[in-house]
Amino acid sequence: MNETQTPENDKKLSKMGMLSLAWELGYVIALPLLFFGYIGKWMDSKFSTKPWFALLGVVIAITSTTIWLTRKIREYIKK
Amino acid sequence: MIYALPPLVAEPILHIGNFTVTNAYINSSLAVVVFFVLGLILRKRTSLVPTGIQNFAESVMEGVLGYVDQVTHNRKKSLQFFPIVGGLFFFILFSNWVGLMPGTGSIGRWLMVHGEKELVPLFRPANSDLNMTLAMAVFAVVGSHIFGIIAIGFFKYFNKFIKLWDVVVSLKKGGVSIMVACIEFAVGLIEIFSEIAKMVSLSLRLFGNIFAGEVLLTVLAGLIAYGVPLPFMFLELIVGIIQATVFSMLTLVYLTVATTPIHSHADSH
Amino acid sequence: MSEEIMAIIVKGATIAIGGIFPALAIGMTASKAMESIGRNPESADKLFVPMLLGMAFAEAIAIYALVITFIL
Repeated sequence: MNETQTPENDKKLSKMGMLSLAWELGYVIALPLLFFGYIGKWMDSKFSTKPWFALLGVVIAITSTTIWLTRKIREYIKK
Repeated sequence: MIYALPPLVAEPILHIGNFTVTNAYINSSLAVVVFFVLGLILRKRTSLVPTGIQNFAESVMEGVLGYVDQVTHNRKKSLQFFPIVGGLFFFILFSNWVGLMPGTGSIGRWLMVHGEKELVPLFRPANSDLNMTLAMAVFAVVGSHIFGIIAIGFFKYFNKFIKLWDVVVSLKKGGVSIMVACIEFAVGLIEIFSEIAKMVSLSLRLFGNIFAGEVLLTVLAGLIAYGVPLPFMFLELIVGIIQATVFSMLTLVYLTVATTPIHSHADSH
Repeated sequence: MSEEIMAIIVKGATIAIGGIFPALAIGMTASKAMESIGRNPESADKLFVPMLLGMAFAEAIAIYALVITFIL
């Protein structure tokens, strides 16, 4: 009984999981960007190297969000 | 202005000792008292053949339990999650609909606010206060984590997020995998951000909808008092039930996803 | 125009203009998706995931506007 239930179980769960992901995805893209940018700006004001740390923070935020996103999407598409 | 435009923060009405009672707090206590009395009444009237209020309550509960079953596919889990999810749904629904009754937003005391004498309403929809929705969102997300730890076990649950074991294994290999470990660490940080994003999105969605509806109804009732607010009140009815459904459904999904053991992730690499 | 009035107008304009374009984008995405589901009802499951992804990227822009409004 478990075998026949698990495939549609996974598909239903992944649809619901994808729906919940869609609600937060906007925030997950926006909030780390602002957070890392702000940390970069604060480190800039401490070490006085003008824009480099803020740019590094933004780049870190964009890369890690993209990697996380591609992993999540790969799981859902494989199912 | 003869009507009171609700500000972002709920206004304090009276002070009991050191505790400030705001007008959104009065509404939420009203909802709590109503549900408490309803619970007491239902507890006394248990009979095998239900009539009257017990019949109504049982039919409503069966309907909601059926919807919860569609997400969890497991009756035992549905019965465990049903108090939280059903409680959130009925509380939010009741608070939203009571906020439409005549008297909320209009009956008030004349207090001195920022140096001018203004009408401070006594009642205000409970979810139009960001504290309330933030508390419920934090409760839902932290509750899902706690349920996950209870159901699966601490280290297996923690491994879902930070993937500590993979990081340790790749550190032993040395060389390039130090960079990989840094990337893994950043991705784990994004997972933590995903939890924060859940809380922020849950609370801001409910707060924004109900607060905007309250301000809209107040301004419309101030402009033209008869007839024109009617379609907007109908809209607020629909918005109330949709927001309650979305909040409780998302809580249910977080709970379900947190308590399912991951057995299918390992074979996707 | 005094500075406070300019600040309030700019705050309002930020969220107003920053909210129109993401709303348009999400609406257009959803309308195209509805159109193709109507044309081919079996593709609803396959369409669902990319549509949500596109909507989420559009919503991120709206959140940028919201945060700037709160900061200012």
